[in-house]
Amino acid sequence: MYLTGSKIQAQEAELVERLRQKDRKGFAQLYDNYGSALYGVILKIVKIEEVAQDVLQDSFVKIWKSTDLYSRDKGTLFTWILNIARNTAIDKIRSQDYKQNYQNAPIEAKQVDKQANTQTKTDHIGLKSLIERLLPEHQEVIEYLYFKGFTQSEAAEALAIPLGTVKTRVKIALRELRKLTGVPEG
Amino acid sequence: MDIKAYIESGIIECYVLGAVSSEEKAELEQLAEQYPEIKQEIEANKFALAEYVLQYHCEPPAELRDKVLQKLDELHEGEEDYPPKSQPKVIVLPRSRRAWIYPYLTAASIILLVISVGFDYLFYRDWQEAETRLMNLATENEQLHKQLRQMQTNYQDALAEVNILANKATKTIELKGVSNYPNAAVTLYWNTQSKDVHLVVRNLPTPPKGMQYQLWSIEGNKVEDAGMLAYENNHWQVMKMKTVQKATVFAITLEKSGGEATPKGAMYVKGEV
Repeated sequence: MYLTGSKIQAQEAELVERLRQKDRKGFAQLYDNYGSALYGVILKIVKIEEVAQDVLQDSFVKIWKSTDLYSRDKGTLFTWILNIARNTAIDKIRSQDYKQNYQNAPIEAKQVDKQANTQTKTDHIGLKSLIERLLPEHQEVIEYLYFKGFTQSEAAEALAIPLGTVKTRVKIALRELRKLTGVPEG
Repeated sequence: MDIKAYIESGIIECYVLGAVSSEEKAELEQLAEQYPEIKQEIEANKFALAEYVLQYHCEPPAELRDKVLQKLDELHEGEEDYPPKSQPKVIVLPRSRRAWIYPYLTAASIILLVISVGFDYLFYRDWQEAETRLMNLATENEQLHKQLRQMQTNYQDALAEVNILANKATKTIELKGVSNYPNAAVTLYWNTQSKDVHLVVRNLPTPPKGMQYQLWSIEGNKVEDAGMLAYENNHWQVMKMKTVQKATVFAITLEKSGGEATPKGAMYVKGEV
């Protein structure tokens, strides 16, 4: 449902225009289209539902404030807002507030196991097990860099592998993903 | 700047995962402006990653939608006068004497609307077609590039071989497939003055992983290593081997990568001088 194609691009252009005009319906549509995708990523990063809800709201505020900065140059609308949501979530887990209140607390109980199910949900036909179709070592580098917000050297240290290996794994991981999702090779 | 090497370096993938320094990020974004190949790579990687993270999608609680939208409304209120704070006054206009014109105006505007929708559709369709054509051209362009690279490689190989052959001192020895490998064929050029040996592989089975072909020069009972055959990027290049002073027979065997001091593996081709 988020795939490319000129039709979707046309719809997207229309939506972008509405967002620029700060049109309420446009933002409602953005929320309806992408809310669950953004929420899923945020939840994966911050791990706690109440925090994830705040971060989703903050992300929408940021999107609202920066629609003028968006252009087709920056990728698709979805990849652009995804980036905003991810960065807002990463900023959150690095914040003092989060560290004090959640990081050291026994959060397992509060964490959601909803996502364990969503991974195996099948509304993306054919991509159902995209995550599992990556080798664990490739899932791992994505986990550390994208979802934990580690730098390459932090990831190398945490995984006890050389920096070069982190780079290689990242490269192969993305190449594999492109193959699996049918994004053409460069 | 070597764009291909830059793309191959893996920095784009790290960038897409949000794991580059701010300097690297700035540099990359600037390069993306200059080089469409880089921009395209970034987009493709972003897209694949987006598909991946979508797998984690999760429905937020229903009440959050209103909360978020309300928050945006508040932002709006902070700006200018949105939504309008005072209730607009409704003024009932007296029906003017020209009221007869309204039905016509309405009809005219509906007609204009229909025409405009028609044009919208036509433009949209044209635009879509143009988009498809552009995509096709991009694919075609990429294929042509691949072909061009292949041709360049072939041309360089041929040129190298011509240069060797042009030398009067060059002796050509055809190494032919032995019993189990009748189709194997390798041409060996031996420069009788400089003693340089070059190989051109005509047909050899692709070496299995961890194995490499090795050339041997044989003079009487003396068998000497004459170098390893390099199979790179699924391609046999014209290879310069070790210089050979004296030989009556040349042969190629399949050995462990790196080669052996004396032949241990199966022989594929052999040729007499």
